Amino acid sequence: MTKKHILLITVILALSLLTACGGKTAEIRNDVAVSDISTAVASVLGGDTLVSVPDTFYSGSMKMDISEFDGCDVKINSKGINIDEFGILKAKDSSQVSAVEKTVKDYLQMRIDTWMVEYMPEERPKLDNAEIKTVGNYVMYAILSDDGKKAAFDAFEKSLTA
Amino acid sequence: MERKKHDGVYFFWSTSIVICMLVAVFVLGFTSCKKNTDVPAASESPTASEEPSGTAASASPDGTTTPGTVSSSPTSSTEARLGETEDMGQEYVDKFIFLGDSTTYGLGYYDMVSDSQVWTPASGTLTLAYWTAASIAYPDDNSELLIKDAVAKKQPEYMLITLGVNGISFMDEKYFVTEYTNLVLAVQEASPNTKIILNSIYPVSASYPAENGITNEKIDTANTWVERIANSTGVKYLDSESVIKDSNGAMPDNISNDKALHLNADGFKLVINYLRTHGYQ
Repeated sequence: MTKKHILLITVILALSLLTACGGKTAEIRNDVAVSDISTAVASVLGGDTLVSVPDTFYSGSMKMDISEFDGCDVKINSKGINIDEFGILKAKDSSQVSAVEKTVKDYLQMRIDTWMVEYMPEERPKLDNAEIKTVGNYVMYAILSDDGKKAAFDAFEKSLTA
Repeated sequence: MERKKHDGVYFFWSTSIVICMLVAVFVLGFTSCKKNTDVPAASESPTASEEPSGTAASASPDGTTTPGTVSSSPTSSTEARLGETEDMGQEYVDKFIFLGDSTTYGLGYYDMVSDSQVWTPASGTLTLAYWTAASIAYPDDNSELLIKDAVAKKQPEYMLITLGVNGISFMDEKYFVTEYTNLVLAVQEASPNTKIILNSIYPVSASYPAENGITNEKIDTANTWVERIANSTGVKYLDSESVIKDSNGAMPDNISNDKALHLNADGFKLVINYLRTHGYQ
């Protein structure tokens, strides 16, 4: 192996290192409006029956002060024929993300604690298997079927990494 | 000899650097791939055991909450409560639209009134907390309409609203009163001439599991809120629960269809009879 070969290999490896440093994580956006993400998620769920809850829902059901967040949108099925629901909340900064996650966890636990067995027992697994996903300062929860969750979370991530 | 030694050292260090860089590329390559598929995400099911942060049980029925955009009236006022009257007849009942949850749905199910008079979402139930987002199955043309839009379209002469049992497990007084008041205001705005009556929440059976967060004690408390909302919004309150309570304040099993929270036909007959004999005046 000559000095030229070694030099060439070194340059190629150095360039590879630089390329590797420029990964996808740098492309996560923090400037997307929650309503835009929510619309994108609703559209993949066949969303004309998914409607946004009023502001009173956040203080009343989720026990949160919306003025302390950078945005939020919760959508539910307007006909009440299933318990499909998802919510997207944006923290004001990264230090608030864990608090937002706790708010969502507490809300989901409240839903479990106050579940009425008289109504739609076949829907209960959606609540038991509800999931929370965090991307950057955005926290999303989904009370959906497995297929619905996959589609919803994919749309959520795509909205923030495109 | 000296040159050979120099070349050897050079080869050793060059090879070492190349190996190190290969390792670095390998590691970074893997890290990069992981980040691309697993975006900084945390996914988990709710397993926390924290209690809900607010329950109706902790709220006082004599609270001074200001509901929505309306000021609360004195809690002792009973001017909204409908007193006993002569039997207003079936024609009176036929003028009503009944809006509510599953305890209203049963009115149509048991043919106590026409299906066209019963307004609930397609699911047959309605949670107070969701009333603004919920659409009702509008019976006149089978469309899906928000409550305020349905009221604006129908302009009912009378409306009996029975709501709250699905919400008292997680709605505190302020939340409950605000939502219910806003609903009444929305109906008034959409149809100013509609005579609105807020019906009491029916009791649950004595065997109804308290773990669900619904108890007759909470229902009694919530009914004081409902009556207060009627007072503060200038509508009427129907204390129909008084005729479907046993001596323990529970729904007797003989008028329940599920020994839980739903009336059967006999129970609804008592309610309709109470409505007829406590007419709007």
